[in-house]
Amino acid sequence: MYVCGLGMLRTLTYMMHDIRAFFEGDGWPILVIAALVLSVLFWTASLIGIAFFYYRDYRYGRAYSRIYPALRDFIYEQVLVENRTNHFPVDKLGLDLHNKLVSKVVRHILHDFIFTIGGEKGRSMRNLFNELGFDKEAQYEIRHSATNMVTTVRSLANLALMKVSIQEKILDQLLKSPQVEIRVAASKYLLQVNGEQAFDRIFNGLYGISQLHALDIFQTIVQGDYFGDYIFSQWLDVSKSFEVNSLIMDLMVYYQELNEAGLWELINANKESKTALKAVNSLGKLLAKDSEERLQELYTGESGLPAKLEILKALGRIGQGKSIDFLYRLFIDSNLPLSLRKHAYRSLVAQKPYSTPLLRKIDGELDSEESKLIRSVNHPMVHYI
Amino acid sequence: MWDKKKRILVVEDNEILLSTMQFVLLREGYDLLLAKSGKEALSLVSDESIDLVITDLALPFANGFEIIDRIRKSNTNNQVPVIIISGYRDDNSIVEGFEVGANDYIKKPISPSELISRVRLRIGHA
Repeated sequence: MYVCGLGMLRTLTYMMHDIRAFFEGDGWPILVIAALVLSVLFWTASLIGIAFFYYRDYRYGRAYSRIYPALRDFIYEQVLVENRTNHFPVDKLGLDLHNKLVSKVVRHILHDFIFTIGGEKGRSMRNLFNELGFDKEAQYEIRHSATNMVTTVRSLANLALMKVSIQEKILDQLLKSPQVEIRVAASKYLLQVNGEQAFDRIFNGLYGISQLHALDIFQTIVQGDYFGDYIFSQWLDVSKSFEVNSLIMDLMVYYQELNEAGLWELINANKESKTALKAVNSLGKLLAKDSEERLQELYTGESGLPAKLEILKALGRIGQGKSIDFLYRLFIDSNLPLSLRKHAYRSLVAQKPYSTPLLRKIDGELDSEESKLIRSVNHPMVHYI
Repeated sequence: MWDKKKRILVVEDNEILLSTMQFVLLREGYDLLLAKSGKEALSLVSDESIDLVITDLALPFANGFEIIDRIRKSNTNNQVPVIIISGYRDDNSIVEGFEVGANDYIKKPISPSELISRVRLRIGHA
């Protein structure tokens, strides 16, 4: 026993000696030197990278602060005072537009001006943009930098703002790009330039988008002042992603296109999915009167809490009075979670005057918990952001 | 007797739009007060006499709705006409703008000639 303990102690001492020797450089000196050299290289490369980006921003900022006042005064003088619409005396600007940095800054500033100022003056500035050759530059970038996502997206935004057309073949390639950002930018370009004529083409090829992309496309459509009778619901499809179906449903709600059958198809495909919840929500926002009873049936199934909450909200929005007994039964059921009872009450309130007698009845039978719940519905806290 | 110039408070955080409105309105002969944030605008509203307010909605520190609300509750400038200039093009923003007490709503991008005519409609020539 004593010998065994001594042996273990000796082994431990050797191990400690080895570790100490390693760190003191006696162990594997080449490995230590290599680690040190790699570490120095890594930090040097990082510092050079940071310095490069700082310098690039510094150069851009300096050029911007030099060019902006000159270009602004030029625009004010030529466009706002002299009402020039084309043939701008760009020599007066005194800028070397062959310089890549100068050209980039001028293009950015002009883009911001065109984005801010509309009407005839905006059109004049678009002509100035084209006379400076930026439209051709953007088209060139699109043809030759299709793999550079940032450049292509920026060029597409420029061309959309200028309403400059792109060759059909190139546009088709962009719409089928493996990079989703490019596909979305190309879709936005088409929407801004062709308006509703682009809808079929856009929705037909829409896949792989995130919710932010969907929001971006939604905003581009609604900001385009489109108001027509396009059937968005034709693109609802259970095989499509939540984001795509969600975008279609948002557009249906925005333009009040009621297609109950299409929405129910999404719900029935998978009752607990995010798409189904959104479809229920859309039925409510579209005031789908014929769905009131079906929604109640859906509730009584084995649905989860999020689905039940969406159903209750939808019933409140539809508000035709057909569901008031159902909602009342839910409210008085003390075995249910408070969130469900609260939404049941809220939806009852939303169905006034149909629900007025039931609300009076509830007022007369309240216990303390229910009274608290009702107060929170009738006097919600207002959050100021 | 000299007529006092009409004074307009312009609240906008976008440098290009602010300087363009400044250029256009000064050329028309109006006197201007400029604010780049809601906070600056609120202090000007309570301290200065103003004939018209042109405000953006999305502003740092206090948004356009809060500015209009404060104007309508102030003692000095509560009757002053307000024009909203905003990139929000949805019906809700427009309706809310009128509900809080705005008199007009211009969607971005703005047309300088449209801006001038709407200003003249509210307060006349400078």
